[in-house]
Amino acid sequence: MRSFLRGELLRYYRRNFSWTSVNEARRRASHADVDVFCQTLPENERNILDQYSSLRRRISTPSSLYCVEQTVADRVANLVLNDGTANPVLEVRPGPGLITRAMLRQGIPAIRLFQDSALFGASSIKRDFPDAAIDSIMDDLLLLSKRDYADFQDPTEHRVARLLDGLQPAENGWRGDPALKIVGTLCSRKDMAFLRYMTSSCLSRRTLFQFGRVRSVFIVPSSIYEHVTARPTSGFILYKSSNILLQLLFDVKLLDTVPRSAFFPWPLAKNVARKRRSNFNEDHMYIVSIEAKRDIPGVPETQMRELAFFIFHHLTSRSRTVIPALEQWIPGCGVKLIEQGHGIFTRFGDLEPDKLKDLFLIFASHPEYESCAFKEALNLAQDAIDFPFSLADVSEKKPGVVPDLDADHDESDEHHISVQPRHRLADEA
Amino acid sequence: MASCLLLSARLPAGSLQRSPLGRIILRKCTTNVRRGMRSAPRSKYTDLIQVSNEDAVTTSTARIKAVSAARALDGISTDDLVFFRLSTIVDGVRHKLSEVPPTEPMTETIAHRIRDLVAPLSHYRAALMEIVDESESITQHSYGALNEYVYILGKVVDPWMLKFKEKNAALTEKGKLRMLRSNLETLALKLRSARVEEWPEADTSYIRTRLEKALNAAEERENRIKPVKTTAKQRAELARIAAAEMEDASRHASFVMSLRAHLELLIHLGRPHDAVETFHQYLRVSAADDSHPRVAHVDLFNLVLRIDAQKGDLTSVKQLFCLMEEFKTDPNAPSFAAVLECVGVAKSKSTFNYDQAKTIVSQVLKGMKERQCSDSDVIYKSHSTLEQKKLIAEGIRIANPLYEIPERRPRYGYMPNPLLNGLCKEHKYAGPNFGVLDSAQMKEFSREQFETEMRGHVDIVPIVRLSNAHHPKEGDEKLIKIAEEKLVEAENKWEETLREVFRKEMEALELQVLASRRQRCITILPYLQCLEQDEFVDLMMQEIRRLSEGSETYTPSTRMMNKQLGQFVMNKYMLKRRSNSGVIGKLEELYGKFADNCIDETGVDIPRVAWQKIVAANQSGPNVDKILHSWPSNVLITVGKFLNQIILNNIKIDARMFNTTNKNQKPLLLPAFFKLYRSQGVMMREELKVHPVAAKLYRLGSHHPLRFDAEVVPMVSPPLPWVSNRFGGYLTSTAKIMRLPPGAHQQFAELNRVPAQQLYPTYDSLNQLSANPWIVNEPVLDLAIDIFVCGGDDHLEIPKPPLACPAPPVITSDMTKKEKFKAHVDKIHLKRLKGEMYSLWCDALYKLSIANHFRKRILWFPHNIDFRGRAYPCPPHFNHLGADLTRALLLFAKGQPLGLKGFDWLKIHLVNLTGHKKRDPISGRLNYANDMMGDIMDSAERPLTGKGWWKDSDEPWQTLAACKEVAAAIRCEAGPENHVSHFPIHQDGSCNGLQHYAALGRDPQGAFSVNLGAAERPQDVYSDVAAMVERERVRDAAKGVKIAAALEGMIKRKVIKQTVMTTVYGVTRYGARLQIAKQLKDLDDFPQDMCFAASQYLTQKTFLCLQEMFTGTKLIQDWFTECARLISGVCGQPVEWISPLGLPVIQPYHRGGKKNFGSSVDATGLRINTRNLVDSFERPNTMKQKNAFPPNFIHSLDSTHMMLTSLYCQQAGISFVSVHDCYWTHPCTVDVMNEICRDQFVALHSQPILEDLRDFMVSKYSFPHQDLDDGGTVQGIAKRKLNRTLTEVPEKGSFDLQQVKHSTYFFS
Repeated sequence: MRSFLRGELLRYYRRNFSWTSVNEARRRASHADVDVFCQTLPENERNILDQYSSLRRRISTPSSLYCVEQTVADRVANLVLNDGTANPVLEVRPGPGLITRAMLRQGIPAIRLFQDSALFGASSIKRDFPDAAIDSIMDDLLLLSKRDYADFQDPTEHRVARLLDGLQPAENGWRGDPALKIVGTLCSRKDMAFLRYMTSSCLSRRTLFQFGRVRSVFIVPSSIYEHVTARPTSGFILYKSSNILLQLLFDVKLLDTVPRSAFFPWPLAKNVARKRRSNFNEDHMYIVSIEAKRDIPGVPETQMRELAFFIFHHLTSRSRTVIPALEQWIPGCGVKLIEQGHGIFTRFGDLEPDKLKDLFLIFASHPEYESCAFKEALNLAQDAIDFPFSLADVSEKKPGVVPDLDADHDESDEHHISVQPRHRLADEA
Repeated sequence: MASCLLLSARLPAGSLQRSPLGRIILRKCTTNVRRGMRSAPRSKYTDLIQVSNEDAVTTSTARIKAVSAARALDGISTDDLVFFRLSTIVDGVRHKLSEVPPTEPMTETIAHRIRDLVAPLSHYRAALMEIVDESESITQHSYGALNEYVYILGKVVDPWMLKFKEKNAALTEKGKLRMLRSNLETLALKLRSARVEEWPEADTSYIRTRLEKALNAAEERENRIKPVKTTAKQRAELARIAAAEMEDASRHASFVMSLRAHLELLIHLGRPHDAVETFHQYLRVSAADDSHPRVAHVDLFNLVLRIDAQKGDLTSVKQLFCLMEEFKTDPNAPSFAAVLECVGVAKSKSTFNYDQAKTIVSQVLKGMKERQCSDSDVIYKSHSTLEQKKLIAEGIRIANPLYEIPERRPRYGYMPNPLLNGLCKEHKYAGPNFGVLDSAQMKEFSREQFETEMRGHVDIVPIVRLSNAHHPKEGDEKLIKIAEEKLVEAENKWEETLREVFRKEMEALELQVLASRRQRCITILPYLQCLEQDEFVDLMMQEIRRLSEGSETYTPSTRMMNKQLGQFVMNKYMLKRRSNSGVIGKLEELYGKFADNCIDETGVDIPRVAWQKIVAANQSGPNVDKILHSWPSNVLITVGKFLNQIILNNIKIDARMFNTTNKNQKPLLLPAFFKLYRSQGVMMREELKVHPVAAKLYRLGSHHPLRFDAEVVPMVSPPLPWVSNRFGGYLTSTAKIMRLPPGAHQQFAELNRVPAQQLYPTYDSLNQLSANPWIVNEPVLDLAIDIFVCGGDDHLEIPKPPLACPAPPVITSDMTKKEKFKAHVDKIHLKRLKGEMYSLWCDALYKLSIANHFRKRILWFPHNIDFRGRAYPCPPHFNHLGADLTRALLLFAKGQPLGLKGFDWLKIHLVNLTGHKKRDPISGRLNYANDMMGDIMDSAERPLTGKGWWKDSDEPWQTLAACKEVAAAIRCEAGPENHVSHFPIHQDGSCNGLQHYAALGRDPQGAFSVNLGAAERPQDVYSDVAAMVERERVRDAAKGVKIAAALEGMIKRKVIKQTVMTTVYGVTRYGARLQIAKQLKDLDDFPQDMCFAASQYLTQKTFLCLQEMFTGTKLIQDWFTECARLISGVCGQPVEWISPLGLPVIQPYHRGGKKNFGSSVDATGLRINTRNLVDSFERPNTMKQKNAFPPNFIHSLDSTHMMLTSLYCQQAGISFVSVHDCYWTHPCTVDVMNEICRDQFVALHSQPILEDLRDFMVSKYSFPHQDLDDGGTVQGIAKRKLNRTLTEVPEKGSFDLQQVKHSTYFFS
């Protein structure tokens, strides 16, 4: 009897089961969540979601997030201090403008908005705050690295200058108060590129940093937060040179946490089994302030790029041991390092950012430092230091490019069919 | 019954048990066998079976046997035949039929005999009836068997049925049923007509009705039965299992590769005992540990067997055979050969045990019979020397005392191929080098070539010193002198250091191996023992030079450098090994004979046959074409890494070397090389760079001439002909015939798998191209060197030295931030520019230096092919495929009088080169040449000081060379037609890719516009398309489209030319838009802000017009793309096809899992990672497979056309050279070549190319019915779609191909 029942059940199940129905049910359920949440919101905020109804759809990996809760927006605005610089606050991806309005209410006189989507406009804000200087630009500041690279490739246009038009240098220069303040929500891994770009432009004091120091208040999800606060204990995937440099050049402070649910669109409910273990709560958004340091103790400004290259080069492989690696530049420098307390099995990835800086200072204090090949290496790799974005971010896959039929394997050197002039001709075979 | 037996032979055992029909069959089988077989006279047909298994039916002994066997058949009662091993016989015959061309008389006889015997068999009728009876229960499983049955029956009864299977495969499932029905019907009729009197009318009609009924029922059931549904989970599980199996197979394959290389090396190093022990150790480990990759492989067993064979150790051999059985490894011909050889060796020993030997031999012979491996296979397929062959025969004689080695004449001819029917088998040729050099010169040159290759490199004095590129000539003499001294000093010191360090490292390594008990593991150690220490030091010193003189901007990744160094070690070792085993000596001897052949006047065979005959006549001594397995890439990388690491850690340079201010300063020794990381996309790439002081030292002080590998410069004696995939080209190297990306083993394996004869046409055309002797055009060379030395000329494309690059801006402290940044950016740009200039300059330097080195010499370029079959000369720097200047530097070594028309052709060629009269008919071009004769003579006589007419040409250097040739002809005293010319005339296909497409699709309009049709004037497809686009534009402009109006007068030929050209090669809309935008940007009067919109508009229109003009092209391209997408996506296989000349092509685009590229060495640097990339186990890269298939297929067609032209030109006795779609010959033979070229194009496209492709793809990729999932799932739909798409060959147009023969401008 039981087996008969099971058979019947199975048959029934088979007849009525399909993956499409499962997916449909899941989607409906997740929408129900959103709807329930919306009901709890005050009317004002509900209206926003009704107005931009596309935000209500869950997306697996949203490319930008917008705050829709008034209280959260107020909390963020509180953290952006009004300390009276001449420049407007730069707000990236304001979306419906809750944070903008909150800041204006706090008495911030001038704001420059960088909208990433044509969906949103600034006219209603301008109407509501006629006295404030609101300036809306239809471009994404987070893509500054791309614009800069385009300028580099094609110097006829001034894409970066268009974004940063009319900003004033800080009165007291680099050592004074921050010249620029940036507010915004970072969201995907792609936005990490902006942080990397901040590091490189801070090193060379360019674009954003030409006016002076920059203080930014970013609302970031846990996936980015764990990057900007990575330590040796976080594991070598997170503890990498770009994150270390960021922490060396900037003060990274956690200001507050706010619930993820206040930001739309929501992510798709994740499969529990596939979730990566994270040290941080994924239901939170972290408000961090990232402010350029006035100086790094002990490192003269002229050596900043060398420090950056030192970290970039050696942290390419975090598990490499320190002393043998440095001995390859300056034979015999290990003795001094051991004196300073470095063990022979210490790996680069084991050292905290500050320790790495100290290591560099010891390294640079060797008399042989000037004549060893390290400087030459820096010289050769300057593209990577000055334009790291050019390689990592812009070389995305171009759509629809035909594969080069003759040589398209990265090790194609021994497969040269093309009759193009080659570089190291004598050595190829 | 017969059918039962036949069926049981077809079906796997399991499936018989499962299907109801199968069960019935099995039951019947057993009863039949019990009843009838006992009395069957077996001995009668053993002969017959032997014949059917016999490899060479053509040889005389086999012929006699076949006849006697056929006679013997008469005596056998038909029942016996049917009940016993009819299936085997039929199988054998079928095998023969497919292998031997049907014209072979003996096979024919056997086939006749069997047909006569079986046709009247009542058993067949009964069998058929039974099938019909059982067809009520025909299920999916027995379906294939039934087909097979019909096929075999049909084949025996009537050759008409031969094509049945191919036809059948192309049909859909329902179609198959219908086909089956009609076939059964036809079969019944045929059977009836064969012996009408024995088949009563009632029978046939009965069969027919029963058949119909049964098939209807089957069809109905077919429609009713739903295939099994699988859940997503099950499918995921299946996919996981499949992936794991693939992974396992991949690990097995790469492990075997590594172990084989290791064992071979140990054996050669004189440590066979170690090899055996290592092998056994790994066998044990893999048996005990499931996670270890499988080890057992027949190749490895053969290696070990051979060791024992040489010792004559019968007991050990026997044990090994047991082991093979235990590890489920099937022995093959070389394994049997090894055992028999072992017996042969043991025979002469005092401890010989006759009984043991006899059992072993009889076991071996039995095993051979079971695997249908004939004795001639064993003897001839195992690459044994003559002595070994004798030993094997000795072995066989234990069981068969009268055994003689069967004679096997090598096959020189081609496989039957309609394209090659015009080639006469017995044709004798003039030696390709007749008249170019005499016998004494030939001897001297070949000796010189051997010496060069044994040395491994050629030193060539550069025409300008390298340091001149960076520093003006008046550079500080004193500094240079210091540098020269210091360099010698440093190099001596380094050499000493390297020797010392290498010795120490080796000692440490040996200790490490001992300490870690890794003597029986695959370690790096033996690879470092295969050469003398000094040789390693020498290689490292060369590596130091390479690194120091390398370019600043570009260096290969460390991985590449390691691999390259590893390759140098391997090449040196291989050469040493071949030379030690006497192979090189014998090669030299045979080559002498071959070279003599080359200079004979007439009566010579083509090079391949000549070589094969020479080898066949000189069998004693070592085998010259014995395959040495190359080391797998992980070994190369590990060895290279070890050596590079020594350099990196130990080579130091005095950083204060050039600091002359303080003489008493102590030297500051710092590492001379360092690692650098550069990002490459998302990956980091490690490069090796040199300390600036060391770079300077080499730049200033290096006296070294340019050192080229022997295999990158032209040869000075005729290349060896290709006779196998691994033998040909340079004299001593073991180069491969096909250049493939690393890790692409699949296609090469396929090349080795197909019968050698199938590749003979490819070999022969390569040999034809390689055999052409060249000389350097000295007057042009002198002129080019002059210009190069004097600082280059951009207009003439002689690069300027990087000195000419403007100095980078100086960044001063008083600059503003913006200016500083701008200066910084400029600096980077300038640096890149300088790097580019330097590499261009070096390229020209190499070319001119090589040309200079070989002036007054005769050169040969050995050729090989890429994976599509396009031929390329092997020397990469200096060859006739190069740019304008290089082409102008080369002349045919053979001279021929111009003749009456030759002079005209020369002039026409000259005008073609200028590009001035592209749209004029040939007569117009000739007239133009005559009009311009004054300028031509002026250019020839005063190239630099005169009017310089040649400089305005499209191809200035070739024009100049042609001018000089015209002038020489005019000055010839005996009249221009008697002038002996070495000058090659080019005939160029006009848009060759489109020509092939147009011919494939028989597009009337398209064909005409690419000159396939006869016309008064040359057609220009670009102008035609431009006109069509313009027509569209006018129409749009009238409609008020803004962008169309703005483009008025802008649509020129040039704007769309590149796009039209590259459509054939699969340019995408994206790429096309970029091309057009680039052209629009160059137009002065075009408003640049509209560039984007305009380029988009034009791209769209160009594609539309092309589609309209080449109706067939688009359809064919889409079909190709779709097939490739489905094949790589649904089947997960790379696209594969066979060119009309029989060359198998597999696209080598794979996803290349990163997992395979783990670090090559473990932490201790001792063990070698055994994971290699083996592409047969990789998923294909669908995007590349899909985008590249149409152009690759077209390339394989154009290469086929080239090869055919080459073969027929060879037969016609004229010189022929090709640059893909540009054919070269002597002026006096242009007309002959043109005719051959057209005839071969017509012959090629008269073949059903697309249909053959379809048949091949259907048989290879389409899914059998039972594998089609139910219609609902994505997979099911995709599989059905694949099956359908593969058969949908596009329709053809109405163009008459024969017109090509009368087209003047087809190739012009």
